[in-house]
Amino acid sequence: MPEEAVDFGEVAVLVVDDDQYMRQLIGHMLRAFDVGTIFHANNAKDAFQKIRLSRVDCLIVDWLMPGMSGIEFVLMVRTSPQSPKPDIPLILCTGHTDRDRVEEGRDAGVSEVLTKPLSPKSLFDKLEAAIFKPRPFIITPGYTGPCRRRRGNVKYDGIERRMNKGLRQNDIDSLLSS
Amino acid sequence: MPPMTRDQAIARADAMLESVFADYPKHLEATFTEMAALAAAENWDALHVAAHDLKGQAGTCGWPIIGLVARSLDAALKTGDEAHFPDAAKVHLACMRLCLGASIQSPNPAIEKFLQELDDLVARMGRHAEKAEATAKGT
Repeated sequence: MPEEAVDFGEVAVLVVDDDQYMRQLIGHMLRAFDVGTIFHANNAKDAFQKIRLSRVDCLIVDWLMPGMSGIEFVLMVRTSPQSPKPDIPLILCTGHTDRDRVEEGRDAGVSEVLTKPLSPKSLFDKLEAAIFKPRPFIITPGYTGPCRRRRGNVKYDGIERRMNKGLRQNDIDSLLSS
Repeated sequence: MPPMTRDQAIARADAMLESVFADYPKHLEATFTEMAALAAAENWDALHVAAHDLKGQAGTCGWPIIGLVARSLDAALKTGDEAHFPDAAKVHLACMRLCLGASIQSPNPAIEKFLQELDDLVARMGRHAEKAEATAKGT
């Protein structure tokens, strides 16, 4: 069966990272994917302003940033009364792949975790999942974010064996929806 | 232009990044110079941010060895004793410059052994710092 085309042409993505080089690199990849609009912000405060003033469909956010961290930003987007779009798809980008960190991201309400080093393949898959295959959005007193029930097509190959080591991308995907 | 398939989009991005990555060594040179200046100014917070950024960035750009050394420096500046920061910065930067100069992009057995020793050293720095803190608190 021929592979289906994926059209990001109408999609606007905001990349939030204090590292200018990484912002540019992600921008190059998004352009190669023909993403319609690409915004950049070098800190969480600027990013929050941008999503209030512009139509943004997806956020790609680095975890460690000076000032407000990526996780604090995720919580603000998901739960602040001033947030214009609490249910926006949100991809958290990190080099920290230990279980505690991934759980922290999941509990803050991230849609996807993208592990460094990045590749066009990993970015494409996370972007496609966040935008075109989003999980139902949940608002409860203790949690606001994508439903944490596992997607049917996610391959699970055992988190527990690697609990104390860095998790692999498959494990992270499973943990996000567990 | 009609929308692309996943494979087409990824291939296009890979091709686009090839030229970006070809210039990455120049970017590394500039980054090391900036980091050395931060170390000379004892601006440890800024050096820590630079090491952390490099840790994530270098692997993505095809220099995982630089990412590993940057990770070690990141750990040293996070957990170590400030008295050791100048030496830690010097050793790590020298190692990264050596890898860049010799075009060693990925770990090999000799480099892995050296990195292990570097990690052990950083761990000892962390324990030393904890001990010093406990002594200062009188515990």
